[in-house]
Amino acid sequence: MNALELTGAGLRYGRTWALRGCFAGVPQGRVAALVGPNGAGKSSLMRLAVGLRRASEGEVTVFGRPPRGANLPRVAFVAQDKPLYPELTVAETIRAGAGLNPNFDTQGARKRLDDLGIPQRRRVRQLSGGQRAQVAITLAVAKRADLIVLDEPLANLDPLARHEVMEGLMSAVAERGLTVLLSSHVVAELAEVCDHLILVSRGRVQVAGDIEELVAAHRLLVGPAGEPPAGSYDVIGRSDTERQTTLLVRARGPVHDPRWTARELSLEDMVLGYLRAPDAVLTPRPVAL
Amino acid sequence: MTWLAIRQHRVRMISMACVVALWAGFVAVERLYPGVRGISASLFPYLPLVMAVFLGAPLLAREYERGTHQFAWTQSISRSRWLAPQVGTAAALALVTTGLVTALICWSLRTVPPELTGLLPFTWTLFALALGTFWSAVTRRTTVAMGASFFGVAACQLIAEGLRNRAARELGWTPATLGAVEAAITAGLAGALFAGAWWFVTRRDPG
Repeated sequence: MNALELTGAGLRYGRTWALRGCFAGVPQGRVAALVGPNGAGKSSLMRLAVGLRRASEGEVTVFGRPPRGANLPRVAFVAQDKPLYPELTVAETIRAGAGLNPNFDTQGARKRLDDLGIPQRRRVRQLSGGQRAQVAITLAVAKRADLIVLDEPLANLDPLARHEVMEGLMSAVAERGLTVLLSSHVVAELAEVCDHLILVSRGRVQVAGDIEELVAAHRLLVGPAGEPPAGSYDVIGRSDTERQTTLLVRARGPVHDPRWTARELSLEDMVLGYLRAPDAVLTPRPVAL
Repeated sequence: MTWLAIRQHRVRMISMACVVALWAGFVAVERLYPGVRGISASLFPYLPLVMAVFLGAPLLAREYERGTHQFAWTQSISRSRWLAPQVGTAAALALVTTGLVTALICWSLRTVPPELTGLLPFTWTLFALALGTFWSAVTRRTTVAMGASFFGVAACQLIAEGLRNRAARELGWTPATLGAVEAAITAGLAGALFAGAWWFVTRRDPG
């Protein structure tokens, strides 16, 4: 059973569809990156995953059940701007978390904030952006959920704070064996920590799967201009110059053509290739029409 | 989660203490200068407006505006269980304030006017709070909700005044009957508006 499963899920705001027909799954114990351009539907997908919104079509399940009611303790969420009550002190915020969650780890939360050097008597509004992010993430971790969803956890943070936030999150993940879904529009900052990818563009899940497998399956073929080489592969993207043709392909077997060279791709190049080719879709299940 | 709801109402509790202090001031003046007796009672209709604008209208709109509903609604409890203490705290605060202000006015006056007897001040307070909460849930903007609830309560007060006069004139209802009917109607409307706000929060799904 996947920690998170989208089955043809869609979300409509009024008449506009923010997401349509999305198929994707995040297996348990994975750290999944939710990647896509601004306005692609990342936040909408996360709202579905944490139960802030109900799917307008299809189904969203967390550990096999909808993210509502009795299933709420299993999902934690940190929204984009790390909303916390600014008038509360850090200690009061922890108290609120303890009151709102039956499994809340008050001691752990206090210790983590002490380790991070965040004064608990200070009001949330007096904290720096990085400290506030740390408090929000600490609260989400202390909820002792099994799936933690973070919307742009690193946005608006300086490089040092980014590093600290990520480190803190990963240590919590290692301790508790959490499943994580975190979003960003910067692929590079996720490549190091994530092992699963969901690529969203124009309101659809375009690619979903294990990052290693995905990267291993894709090749950049470079060869003479004109006809592509013989072989078993799907072309995702193509760029032509006068002298040479470059193909981004998902290979199903080797390419036997001495004039062509196959290069491995980075995750970032693969993501860019898919974003340039919005019609290419690679998800656990094909989008049913 | 009652503690959080009460903690979030701290500033509003101070505001309500100021409201009570204001009326205490009016009453003190009335006791010192009997010639001005009646100010505190004549200002009483503004009390429901205060409840609607300062307690009702911000209740949910502030959560939406600051995005904190995304925090509150992704903890382990349902939205209904989050909403109940919020509304409960606001209602308790409004009722206590109304009780104190009413007591002050009644202490100052020899004859208590009908709108200050029985349950009527309390049902009006609940109605105003409910209207503010309803607009808060619908508009999700504090300023808009404040404006809508101010004019909403003021309009309802004018309508109630008209209906009261007509019922007394044409049906010959005594003040006691009138008061009972008015209390029942305002309490019923308050319940309906609270239910409407609850529906918006839990059913309309405004993540």
